[in-house]
Amino acid sequence: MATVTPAMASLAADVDEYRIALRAWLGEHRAELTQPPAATRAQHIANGLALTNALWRAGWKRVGWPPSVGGVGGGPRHRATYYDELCRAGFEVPDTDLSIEVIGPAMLHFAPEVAQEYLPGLLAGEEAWAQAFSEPEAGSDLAALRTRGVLTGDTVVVDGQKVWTSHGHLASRLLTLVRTGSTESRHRGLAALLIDTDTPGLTRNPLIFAGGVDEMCETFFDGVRVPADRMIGVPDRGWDVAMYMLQYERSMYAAQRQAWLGHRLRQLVAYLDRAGSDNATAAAIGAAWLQLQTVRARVIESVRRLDAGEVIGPEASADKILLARAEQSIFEVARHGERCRFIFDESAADWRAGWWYSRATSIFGGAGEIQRSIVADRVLRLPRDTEGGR
Amino acid sequence: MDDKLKALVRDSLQQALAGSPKDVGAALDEFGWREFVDTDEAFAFTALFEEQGYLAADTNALDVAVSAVLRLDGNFPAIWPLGGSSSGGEIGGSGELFVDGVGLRGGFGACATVLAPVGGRLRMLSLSSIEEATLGGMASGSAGVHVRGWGTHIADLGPWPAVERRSLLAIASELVGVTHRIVDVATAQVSTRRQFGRPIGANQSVRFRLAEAYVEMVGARALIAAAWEDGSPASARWAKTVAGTAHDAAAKHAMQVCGAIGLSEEHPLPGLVRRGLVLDALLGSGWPEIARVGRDLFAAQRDSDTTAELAAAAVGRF
Repeated sequence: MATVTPAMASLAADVDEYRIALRAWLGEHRAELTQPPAATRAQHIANGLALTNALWRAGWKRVGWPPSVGGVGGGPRHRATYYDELCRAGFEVPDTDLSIEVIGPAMLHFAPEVAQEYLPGLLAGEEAWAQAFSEPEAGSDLAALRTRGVLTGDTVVVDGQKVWTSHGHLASRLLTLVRTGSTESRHRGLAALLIDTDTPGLTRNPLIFAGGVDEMCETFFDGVRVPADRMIGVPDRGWDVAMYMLQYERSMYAAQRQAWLGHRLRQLVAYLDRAGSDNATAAAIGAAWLQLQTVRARVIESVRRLDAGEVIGPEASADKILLARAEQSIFEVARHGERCRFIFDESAADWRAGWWYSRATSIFGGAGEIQRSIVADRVLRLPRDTEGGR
Repeated sequence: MDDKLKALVRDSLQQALAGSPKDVGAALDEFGWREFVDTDEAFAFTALFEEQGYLAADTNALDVAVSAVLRLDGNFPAIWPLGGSSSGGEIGGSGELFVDGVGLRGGFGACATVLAPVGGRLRMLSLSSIEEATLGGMASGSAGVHVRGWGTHIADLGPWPAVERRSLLAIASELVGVTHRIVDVATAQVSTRRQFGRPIGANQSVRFRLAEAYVEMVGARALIAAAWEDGSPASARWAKTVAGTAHDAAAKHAMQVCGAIGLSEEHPLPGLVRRGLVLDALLGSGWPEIARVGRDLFAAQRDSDTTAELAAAAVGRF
């Protein structure tokens, strides 16, 4: 397979040329990039890493990232185009791309040296990372997190517990949010820390998702010693990092997810073809398609804004709400379109897994209720629900 | 066009539309709206029709917009189809044409030069016999009229789908404008109206409903923008359907949270609800369109070996 060529740098200057060239290349190399379906979650991650690595070596994955981390320039529009084209060619967006989009830009922004040293391993598909923010007592209320990070000399000693970490048990590094301030410091006393999962004192247990796979894990930190130069940003300012991430987590994740959902919806049309004469199914799939086009149009706007260097504020919650709605609609059609097959048949396992996952899309990364509260508070400026009365 | 100029254009549009003038063409011509159509058609349309929707202005702006797109010398009234894509036909082989549709303004008089989509083409006709009736139901009180007439062909102005696409997007933007107004009206009311010792807008169920309404609105607005770039007739139809759905959802949220007064004629809401329903019906309602999109997807899937054709249909690019 070809290695990076100087032509790649010129494609980084033009999104349309990049799309056309990538589409052609994926068409040519589709067979050699295609892997047998993964039997386990670990294999699924490994498949994603292999695909990413092939695209990194061929240069395509380098577009959208700066030279300091092995890239050739370009930005979010290129990356969104990359996800579009992968899915158009029938590939799933590798799991690690969620970590890439959430962690990469924030790391480049707040800790360019850390990014330079570690990010290439993630981008190149050599390592899987995960984002470990949630805790047993800090889900939607992230600022309530309790995992301590005590800075002692050039080491941060971490004690506590994280939970619901997507693919955390299969990751070699975790981006965590730990408390460096007092217990009452809320969002003012946090720090973002990159922790290697083979560090002594760190133990993980996989958690089985309702769909039947080990999708997530819980992690225990018992005196885990982390070099202080693994901090993203400065102590007590981790909330800034988390907020910066959110605009990518809501918009860029939506960009990659809508690409994948486009592929799933096309598969669904084929899967349900026999039921196609049913007007209710046609109406439901039409509605799902329109919802998907709506979120796509919305994230096109958001990605262009990110590409232009704009900061996306509370309005990014709309992207997240629209995405969850579209994803849930698509898998509801899968469920109702051929109900018995969906419930009982082995051939529908993939649709069942997708349906369970779709229920999580309005929970992770800030529950739907949080997103609606953000819109109510910060976009519509409605009275706060903490205001007086009964 | 920079943001400052765009804001100025919107100000001028608000002035031109204020008070729903009988003919908004002169005011739009005066400040050079047609030039904006030439330089940035998507913005010119989006701004005009969002403002018209927000102000609930009942004007002939859609007629003016069509004449501008066609670069006609003057502004001509069109006979708009309520459903489907034709508002007329040929009578036998006589060469005489009939039209049956909606005019945005009454007062056609005994004869008139009008535009109408007939047989896939946009035609200019000279009507020599016209029957005009006020619109009823949800449209009663509007300036629009039901027009039936007979006349002769003057000119073929080209394929209707090109004009229809822009008209659908215009109506979609007007629906977004109406929806925006609904969100603002409801937000203002629930922020001040107090029950149980606090604004009712401090209650989570009310806040969530209005957040939903806002999200519906911005989603529809984004799809309209993508459809302008995309240029396909299908995406314009989707955008209008989604804008109608967004209006419907926002209207229902607002009708709930505004309470009894929101369903009385003392309140702006019923007028904004009716306006949206009429706009949704104009050029074909969204409800049957949703199932048609689904049937089209199944048909496209059967016709192609791969899913690439469906992928190509997705709106917009990054």
